[in-house]
Amino acid sequence: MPRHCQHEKLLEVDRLSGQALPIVLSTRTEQPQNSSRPKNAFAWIIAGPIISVAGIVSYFLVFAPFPFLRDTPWLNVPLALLGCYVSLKGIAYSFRNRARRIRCGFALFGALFSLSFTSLFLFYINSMSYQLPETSQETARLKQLPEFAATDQHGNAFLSSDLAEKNIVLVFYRGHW
Amino acid sequence: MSADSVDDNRRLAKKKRFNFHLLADPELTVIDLFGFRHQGAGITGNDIARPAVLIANKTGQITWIAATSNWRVRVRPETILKQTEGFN
Repeated sequence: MPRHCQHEKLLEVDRLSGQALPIVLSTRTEQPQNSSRPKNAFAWIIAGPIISVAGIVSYFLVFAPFPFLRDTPWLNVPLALLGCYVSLKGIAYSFRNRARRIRCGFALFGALFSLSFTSLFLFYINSMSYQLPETSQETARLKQLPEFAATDQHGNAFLSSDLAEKNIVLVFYRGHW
Repeated sequence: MSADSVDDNRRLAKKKRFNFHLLADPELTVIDLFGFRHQGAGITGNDIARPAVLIANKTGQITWIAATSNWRVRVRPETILKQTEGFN
């Protein structure tokens, strides 16, 4: 019987018969105390991937319209990395305290998910978005605005000559809005 | 200007209440004229324009061209306004 389940027993002598009678002073079983185990270890396992996903998805849905936060994701990268850290903490708690296999599995899967998702995001930020063709020599040599025709949002034909004698700012953008 | 269709531009202009020209160049004819084609960069793998800005004065002389080295980064409005200082 494990030590924490042992009942403390004492003997009391029956005053009439003189026999020793066992009495149980305590039947409560004490659970082993482990101060290093957090009460909400499972919360760390769940919180890691959630923080990572929130940090990354919010970049596209919330912060992309703000140039200061879009050009360099000051908020999103730390959030995604924080998610990875929390996930790894979840693994540490699970294995240190010999949690059930399913919990350890959850912790591993969550950490793998956070790390993969964050890695993809970092690749997108630091490598993928720099993959652009070189500006052509002809573009650099352009001195005069060439004649061109396009269609505006009302379906009207637009000629560059329509803007003769006007200053022009021509912005090329990727679209898909 | 973008490779988006006129309908897409109409929807965007209405939604954002743009009061300037939003030009459609789905064939990328004009985009090629300026050398701003980005091959296969569209959502469906189609060709689109890379982010770039061009400024020309009243005589049609191009005074400034900026194409960012990162397609997440756009030329900021304050930078464009600074380049137009002195224009009348």
